[in-house]
Amino acid sequence: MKSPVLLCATLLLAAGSVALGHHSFAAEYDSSQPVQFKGTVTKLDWMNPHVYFYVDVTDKDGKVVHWACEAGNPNALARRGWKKSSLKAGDEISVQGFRAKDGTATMNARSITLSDGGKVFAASSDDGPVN
Amino acid sequence: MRALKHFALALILTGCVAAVPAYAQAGENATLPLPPNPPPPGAGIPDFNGVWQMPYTPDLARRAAGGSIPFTPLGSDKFKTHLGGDDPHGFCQPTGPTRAFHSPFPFQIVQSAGMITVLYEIDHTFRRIFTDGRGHPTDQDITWYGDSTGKYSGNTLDVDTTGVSDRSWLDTAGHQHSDKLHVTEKFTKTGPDAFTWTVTYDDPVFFTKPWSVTLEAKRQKYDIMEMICTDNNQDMPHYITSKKP
Repeated sequence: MKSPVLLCATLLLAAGSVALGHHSFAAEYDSSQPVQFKGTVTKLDWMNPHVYFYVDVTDKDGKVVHWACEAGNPNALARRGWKKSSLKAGDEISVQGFRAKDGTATMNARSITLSDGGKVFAASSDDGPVN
Repeated sequence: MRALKHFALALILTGCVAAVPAYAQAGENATLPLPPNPPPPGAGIPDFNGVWQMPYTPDLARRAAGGSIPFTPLGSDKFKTHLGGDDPHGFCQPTGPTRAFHSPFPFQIVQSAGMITVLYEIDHTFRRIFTDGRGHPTDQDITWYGDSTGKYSGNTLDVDTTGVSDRSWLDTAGHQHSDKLHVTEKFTKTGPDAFTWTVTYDDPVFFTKPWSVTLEAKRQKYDIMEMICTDNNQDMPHYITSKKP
């Protein structure tokens, strides 16, 4: 039996490496452009090669911005216990990640927090920046 | 039960709770039972049948024996100037024969008389390795996966692959090759649930000498899943790439 601490360390490592494999982080995202917002989930695509979810974010001027957020691969997420029901349209969430280099409202999500504080498939390229 | 309590306590104490799901079981289709294995391949032949996974290795240079890749000037230039957004797999093009092994996805090996079939979860693709004694075709076509032949020796399977298209990349980090690439792989059974995989890349256009990477494959408890890359590839319009969409 592995020690509990070792098991936890293993899980933490796993949590930080929900891998993409499909493309490198640098192919699309800018590690110098961290982005963070709160908003409402409008849609979840639990599909390969990446889970995508969409968030409506109201900016300080009252304008709603529709963010497309990339998460990990659904197979890898499923193997870690996540399901498509883990994040639903209507959920109020906070998202941290990195913006796409092309300047669109597209981001690679590194951390997703529900309004009750629960984390949802924190996931991204494991060759990207660690935060 | 006691161990579980200790584990839960450790999670709380170390702050691990926030990083992992509140439930332990895997989600949809992630715990489907393994498919039945074919009969063992016979006396003197190592049994590689089953579902396996290797550690995800997006950058082969980090695992290269000797610590670095022996680039030719052209190989070095190609690597230094490449755009990550040009990765063929980012466009759901094939991985080539070996990148799928060290992707984040498991694979199934099916041994039969004269042939080994590898069913890669990534892209829902397959690769065949002929063990019936044939050689590579003369006047060989250049293809994404090339042509693979194999030979058993003790507890090892040696595989030889040529004819791999230079359109494929060796890894996510952007290591590339020419169609002169000659890949050799050594699968060595180290126990009932593990084998080592040593791959050697020889390409006089890109590398001054052959270089190798060794990874360990571990037997998996559950079946492979469907992974269709083209299903919802939302990334393509956002790549910084020299490729025209």
